[in-house]
Amino acid sequence: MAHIPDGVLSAPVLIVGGILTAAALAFAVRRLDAARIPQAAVLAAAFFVASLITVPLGPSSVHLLLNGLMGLVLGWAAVPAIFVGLLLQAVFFGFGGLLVLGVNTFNVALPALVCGVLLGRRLRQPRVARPFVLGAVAGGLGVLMTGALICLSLALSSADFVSAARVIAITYVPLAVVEAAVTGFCVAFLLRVSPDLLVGRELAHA
Amino acid sequence: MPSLRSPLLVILMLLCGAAHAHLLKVFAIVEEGRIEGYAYFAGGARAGGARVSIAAADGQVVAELQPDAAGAFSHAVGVRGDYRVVADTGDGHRAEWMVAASEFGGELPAGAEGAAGAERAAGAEGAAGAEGAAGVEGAAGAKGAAGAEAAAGAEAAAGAEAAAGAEAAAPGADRADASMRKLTRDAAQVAGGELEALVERAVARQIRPLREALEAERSRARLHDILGGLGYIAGLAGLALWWRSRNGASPP
Repeated sequence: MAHIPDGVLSAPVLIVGGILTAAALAFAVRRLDAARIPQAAVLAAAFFVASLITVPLGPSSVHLLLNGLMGLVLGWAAVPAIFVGLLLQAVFFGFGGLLVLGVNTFNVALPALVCGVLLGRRLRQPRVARPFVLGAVAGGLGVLMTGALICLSLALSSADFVSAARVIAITYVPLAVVEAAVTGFCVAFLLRVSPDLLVGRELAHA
Repeated sequence: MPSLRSPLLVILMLLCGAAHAHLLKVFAIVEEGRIEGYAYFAGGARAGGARVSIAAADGQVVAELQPDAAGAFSHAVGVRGDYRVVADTGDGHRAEWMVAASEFGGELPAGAEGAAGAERAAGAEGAAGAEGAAGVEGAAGAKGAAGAEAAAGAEAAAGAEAAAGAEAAAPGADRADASMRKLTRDAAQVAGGELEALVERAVARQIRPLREALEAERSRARLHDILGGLGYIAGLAGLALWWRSRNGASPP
């Protein structure tokens, strides 16, 4: 899952993940827009709590990631939000570990950034076409890319890559479907009910 | 943002009902020389698809196990020692549990002998000791400790020995008495070891549910953890906003 514990990955993977995450964090915090901070906090809280509702699936168990939604809504601000969420999950729940925090953040935040870059612009148009589809694509993409990145992290660390890939394929494809539905529903619902929560107040009223 | 407060509240209420965490855990305990346990996800769900390996203190893997659907596994390790039980679901979930050498009772050798042979040897010794003891003063204690079947055998043996002793002439009596005393001492020692093993086994069985409950409780995400995390997020957001407003205020 998105929370790889300590002791699984090899040192080079940990170091590279840590450096990439630190760089992304520094960049994201510098260009963090004050108007985005409440949104980022709300989504970080949702991300933090979502990991507690898990469903046993195959040999593993899964939970919603919400990184597609975070990327779509927050753009670069998703990086610190995800970092804080993962840090608190590691400290309070014991999910993941502090040494692998860099890799875990990278695995969840990079898909969020891709969603933000590819799809974020569509959300900020005055009239959003098919919000459900937009959300669903972001949600599915976020989960699948995170699965691929976790595969990659494990493959770079150990030779037993095939079984990891098999388990991740079994668990992440259904999760991507569910996540797509949930994210699509969230985006469509929030756009209708309270668009300024999604796109920021100044943009919604511009 | 009042529209978001109600979904969050709903999520929190769901959590109070069934806080399933997805942290993989493994529990193991020693029972009669076997390492028994199960892999599970914190919150309760069992991890049937995990692979479990047991490694000795020197890092050498002594067993690769495939737990059953309920995540349970059992393995007879031949030797007493520290063991590390590792469960792995293959997708990055991994959990460890240490079994300390002190958890093993006296039934396993600390060396490299097979377990079954050692157990049999211990049983034979116990029987022999009890036989020797049955004829003398310490008999009652030894009988009580050594278990029903050993005691039955000892009684039969004692009858035979008593008969033999009656036949033997008086001149040998002193020497026989000395050897009897030595046998009594040996028997008391062996019976003590046997008794200790029995007590250890019974206590391990009794405290197992307690250890399980303790472990499950320790790994469960509690409401105050959740609230603490949310509080941290709110606090960090407030801090960031304050920092921005302070910096933004000076150059307008």
